[in-house]
Amino acid sequence: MEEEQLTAGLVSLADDLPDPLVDIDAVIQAARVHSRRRAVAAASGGTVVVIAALTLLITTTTRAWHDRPADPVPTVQATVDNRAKALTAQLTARRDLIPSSLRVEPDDTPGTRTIAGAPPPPLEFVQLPQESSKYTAFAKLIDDSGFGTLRIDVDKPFRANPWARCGVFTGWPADTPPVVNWQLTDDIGRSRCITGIRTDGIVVTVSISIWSDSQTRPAVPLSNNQLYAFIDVFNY
Amino acid sequence: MSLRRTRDDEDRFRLFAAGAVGPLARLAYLLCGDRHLAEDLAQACLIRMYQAWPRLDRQDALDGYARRVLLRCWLNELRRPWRRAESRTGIVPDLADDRSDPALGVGSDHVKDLLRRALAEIPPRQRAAVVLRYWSQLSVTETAAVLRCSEGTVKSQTARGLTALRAAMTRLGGNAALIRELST
Repeated sequence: MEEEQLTAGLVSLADDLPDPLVDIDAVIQAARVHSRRRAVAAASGGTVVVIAALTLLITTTTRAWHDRPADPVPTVQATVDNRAKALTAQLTARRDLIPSSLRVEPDDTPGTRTIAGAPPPPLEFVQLPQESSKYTAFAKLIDDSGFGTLRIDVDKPFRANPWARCGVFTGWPADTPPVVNWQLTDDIGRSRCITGIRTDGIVVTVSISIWSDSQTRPAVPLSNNQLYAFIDVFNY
Repeated sequence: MSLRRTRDDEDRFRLFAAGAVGPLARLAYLLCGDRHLAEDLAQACLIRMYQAWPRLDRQDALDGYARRVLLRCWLNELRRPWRRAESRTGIVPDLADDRSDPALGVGSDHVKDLLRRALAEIPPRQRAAVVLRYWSQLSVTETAAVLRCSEGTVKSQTARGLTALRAAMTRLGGNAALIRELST
């Protein structure tokens, strides 16, 4: 096939096509619509990008806020005075109140660290700066099923005096049980708290808590009666 | 340069489009082999031309630019997935077969159909090179500008296209005497 023949064939073939039915006004209108659509798409895309950027910024900022290093645990200078030592001696004398099946260790749980800084020695009373009206002892009681934290608060004598002068208490019969309150709550796992006012007006609070990271323990390791026994240990 | 179209711009575009739509549609028809698609391609090409019109400052190069845009539109059309999946065999073969009736075999309709089917069988870029060189009568340089390739590539694509076209026409039943009818 010669090139001239090919050209002639192509011309003949192209001439078969009738005049195209293309409306120039429709072309112009379609071009305008296309341009408008492109502008809208660009604006929408820009909006999406801005929203995504803002979301990323907020997420990053929020995460950075949450992931920031924890505030340093305040260094608590717990003091041990003679009264604290006396209370520790009284508690040590009644060590039998803690069942022998429970191992006693320093309480290093987060709640106690927040209050007392470094884990205080177990079952030793200290005076915390932020709680100067009482002495406090901590302990971590452990067995195979988990652990609970024991906290004992004993008010100082100057707090006891107003209570002791209170007519309500002085008017009670001599055998009135000192227990004024006890509760069992699950707010931080399981917690049992008992507060007693001795007949001399001293307020003693004993609590035992099972933290949420030891879900396997079926119940707090000390019963109401075992906690109650601590109330009468302390005097001045 | 301002991209806003003036009334003068629009008038000039209308003038250009009115004269260019026919050749563009015919070029598209030779490329794609489908009349309706050819009209669609010509229209798509003019839409793009209108959008770019304020940027086209060389009025003497409009035809070349339009061919380039048309070629882009056609190649884009070929790349569409639904187009890829479609199997095209040309129009319904309702023309007589020259081998069964020699008297009709020399009919120009049959020869044109043969050429159209043969064109459809060669690869798109070779087809474009052959059509631009032998129908649009573009030089190698002009064809290279439209195809956006080197002149050497145009020459090789054209040569391969011609070889493939000859082979296809022979395979489809054409003969030298028949093809010569085209030039008469």
